[in-house]
Amino acid sequence: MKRSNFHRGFFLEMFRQLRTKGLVFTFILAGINLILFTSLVTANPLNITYSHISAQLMAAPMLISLYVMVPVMVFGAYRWIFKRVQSDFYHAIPLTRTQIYASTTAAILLWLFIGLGTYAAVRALLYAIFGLPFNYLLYLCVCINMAIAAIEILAAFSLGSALAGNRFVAFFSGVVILFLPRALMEAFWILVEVDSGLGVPFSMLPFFLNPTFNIAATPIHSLIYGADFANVFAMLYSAVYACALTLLGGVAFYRRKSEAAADIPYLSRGLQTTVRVCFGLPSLAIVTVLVNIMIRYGDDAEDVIGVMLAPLMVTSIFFSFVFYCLYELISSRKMKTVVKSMKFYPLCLVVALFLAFVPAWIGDLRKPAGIDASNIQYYTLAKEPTLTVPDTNYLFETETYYTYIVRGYRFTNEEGKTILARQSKQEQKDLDPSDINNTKVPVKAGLFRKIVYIQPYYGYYYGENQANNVEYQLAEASQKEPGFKDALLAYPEGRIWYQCTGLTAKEAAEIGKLFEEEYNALSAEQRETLWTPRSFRAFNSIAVDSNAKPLSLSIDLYGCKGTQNYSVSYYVNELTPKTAAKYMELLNARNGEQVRKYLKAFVKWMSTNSMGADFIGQFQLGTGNQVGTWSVGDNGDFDGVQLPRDASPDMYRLLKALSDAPLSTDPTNAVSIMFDSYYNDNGKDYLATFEIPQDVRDALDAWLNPPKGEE
Amino acid sequence: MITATNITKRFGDTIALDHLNCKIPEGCVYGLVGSNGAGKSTLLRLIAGIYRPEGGEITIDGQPVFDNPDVKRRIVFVPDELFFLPHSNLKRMEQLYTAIYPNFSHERFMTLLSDFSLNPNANLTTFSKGMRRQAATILALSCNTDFILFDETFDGLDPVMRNLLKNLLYREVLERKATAVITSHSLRELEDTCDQLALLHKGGIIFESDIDHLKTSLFKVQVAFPDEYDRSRFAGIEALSFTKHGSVSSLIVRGDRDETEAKIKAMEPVLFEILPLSLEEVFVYEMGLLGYEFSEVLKQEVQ
Repeated sequence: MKRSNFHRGFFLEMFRQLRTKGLVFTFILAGINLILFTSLVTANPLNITYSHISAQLMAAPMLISLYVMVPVMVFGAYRWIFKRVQSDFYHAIPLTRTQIYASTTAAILLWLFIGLGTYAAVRALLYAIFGLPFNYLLYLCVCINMAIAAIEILAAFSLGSALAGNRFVAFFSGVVILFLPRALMEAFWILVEVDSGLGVPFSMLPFFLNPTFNIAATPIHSLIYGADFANVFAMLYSAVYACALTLLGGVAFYRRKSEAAADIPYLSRGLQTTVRVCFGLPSLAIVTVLVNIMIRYGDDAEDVIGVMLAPLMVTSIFFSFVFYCLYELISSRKMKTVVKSMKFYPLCLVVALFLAFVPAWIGDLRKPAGIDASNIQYYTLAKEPTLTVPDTNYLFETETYYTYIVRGYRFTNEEGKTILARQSKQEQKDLDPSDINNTKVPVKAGLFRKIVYIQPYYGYYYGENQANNVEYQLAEASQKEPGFKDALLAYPEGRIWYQCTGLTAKEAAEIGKLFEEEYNALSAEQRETLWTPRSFRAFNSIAVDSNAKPLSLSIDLYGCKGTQNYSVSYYVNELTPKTAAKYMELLNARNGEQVRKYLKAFVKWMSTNSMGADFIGQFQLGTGNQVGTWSVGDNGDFDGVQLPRDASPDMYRLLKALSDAPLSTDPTNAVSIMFDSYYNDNGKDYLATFEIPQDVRDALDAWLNPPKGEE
Repeated sequence: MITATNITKRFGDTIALDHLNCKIPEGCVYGLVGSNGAGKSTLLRLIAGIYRPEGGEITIDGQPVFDNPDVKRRIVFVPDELFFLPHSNLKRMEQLYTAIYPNFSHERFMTLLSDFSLNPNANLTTFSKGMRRQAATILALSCNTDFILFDETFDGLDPVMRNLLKNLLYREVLERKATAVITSHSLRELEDTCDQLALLHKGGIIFESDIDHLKTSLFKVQVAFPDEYDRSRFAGIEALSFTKHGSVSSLIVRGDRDETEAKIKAMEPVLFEILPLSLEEVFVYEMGLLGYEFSEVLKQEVQ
């Protein structure tokens, strides 16, 4: 009779034994939801942010909890294999080892899935209840990735437990199994990159090096720099990898000697040596880097590093050796074992040297040759993931509508090809491999299936402005492609949420509806003028709109199509009159008199040099320019005007006239004034629009568009 | 029947069992005796399917034991150091056993609880060493397995409980035809419990026999004759040892008791007496014949 590899009774028993840990895991994740719920309930309706749509932020609580709770659960479930008494009991029960392993794995996984599932469902539900932006499809992908990560982390620590005789070794084996292969591959690749002088963003790394493939092993990238959680192929790869690790754990568990409980030398000699080398290796990283620099710079190596190489090398090796012995001592608690293991230490050095020499060799092979524009079939632009910090306004900086459209678009324009060809030759000549503080503009050129990455450098040979200039040129050239331009200027598709400064989400949605109607009726040229500088931010360059206007109103769109998020900002002005009028009407009704009150208080201060008790803050007149803000106030932290009347008579005249001017809903005759009550009113922004008094129109223009050199 | 064929088990450089062979018949109480480190517990763990032998095979009715649930569900093992779930009571342990052992009987569990007068709701950490062993025994016997393996069974039990346990074991053997394998370093402990005994020394069984046969086939004879005599007078008798003080001599004889008695009586002794030997004495002589020094093999016993 065919025997099942799963034992229901043992599975339920293990599930029961893990219930405390499982419930703690679930409660931790539920607690995070509670915090989210509280923040949503208590949030100011005018300050609702769209930050929670980010895949990293969705994944972070789950992945961090998994890193903590999976080892706790694994060592809880397998505690018996580290103690002889318990080991005897469990090895004597009428189950095959495979049944024990499979049932235990299933019990842990069920608890992990309960925790993750509860968290995911409650979080999605909260957003649905509060009607907030949420990319459900992306969230589903994140959850699938987290489920795969749970299996992988579980498999790594189960395998570690099966290989080791006590928890200390098991824990470190688990860490090594989970992270070391990926860390070594990345270290290897980074050295190749440095040696070849090429920089490739992680989003374009070969699949097995891309952090999107195997998210659990690359928390730095997946949680901070961003991984593509929606990549189905990557999910399949990660799932297969996780399953392979799980199977490996099963094999190790089957082959494990039951008498190994609480005894280190269970590991076979080969395996034991491998583990030792793995532990000795990280501390040799300095040696690897030093040797790699010596290979590349020869006699100049010491100048590059700035310290004497020999003592640094000896010290690093010494500490690595100490660390290696310390691991042996802690894990075996026997000096005899430590002494016996010393003979294997040179293996660590061999591996470290391998990691130093081979990348240097491959790096040399990979140095790019200059390419001609005629050989470039097409190029694609990719954005480099940058550090994304949850921020009300700029969370989506790296996910603008521009980058959403640009992703995967194949450019064929000659101007862009010429820039790239020139750049590839320039790199050969001016390459500075020591400068790793560079900005990368990756370009993929289809040339007989050869992929070339090209980048300008900040730094010694290539100044920041020059780098920006090249990037800007490329962005400009790319936008001249008709197909791309049409896609860019079309009204964004997908689910969209609107945000308007000073308005509630409901009011913003009303404005958004009007805006969409008016935008779709505009010509391509008119639409182009409505793009704000933020919308044109492409990878590292910032397109600047230097034409500041007295009326500065904008509408922000946060959208998602499929699993892709994006954001885009449009000006609201006389081209969309109905939108502008409605926007101003709502703003003025809410804030008009409040702004006037603060404005009068400030004017009074300018005239008497005495601050009113109810005035602390700053003003911003007009905007539409990312270069600077025209703010006034008493706060020395801002680059605003802080002068009394005598020192700035024009400013006084301008503000006094505005404080008496009527509120305006005419986009052709309005100046927007925003008061930022930085020190009171919980930091609220008050935005209103006033008619421009005829006698101060010139003064206002002068403030908004100062002569060059006075910004 | 449990059959161990050429079993070898190593722990690192130490050989715990070295090409050991033995057969344990069904329906008996089988004792394994030996000094510390002789390999009794290792053999028991191999029979229980805990250890994987480096060489040879352990089978039950021809089926290998290791990683074979069909065979292992016929075995229950009570180790020398007992295992209970942390902060559990007997009820919780019953649930654990029920999940794992298909023949676990709740009725039998309740009956045994009442026999031993243990509180099933009390936390096992509050139990004394003896009570914990009783608890482990209750759980093991409730599994209704064909083979019950006890490692250092009677440790920590008071005489009353010891007798109770022995009676239970006999009942298991008689009523269910179960087989009990018991280890101990104390011969006296096993003397009145086991049907068969095996003596382990340095990883091998050096002596194995039926206890009744052992006791009846080896006995002590005290005899005196009016005239001068020496060992040659007993030529037709298998005397393992012969000592003479004055006219009285003592012989350790192996053979049929009645036959020996008839032979000696025919010699018309002035004094003739047959005395039973303790199991320990039997072992001393048997092992002496095998070339072993008893005090070496069972150090604990002698101390």
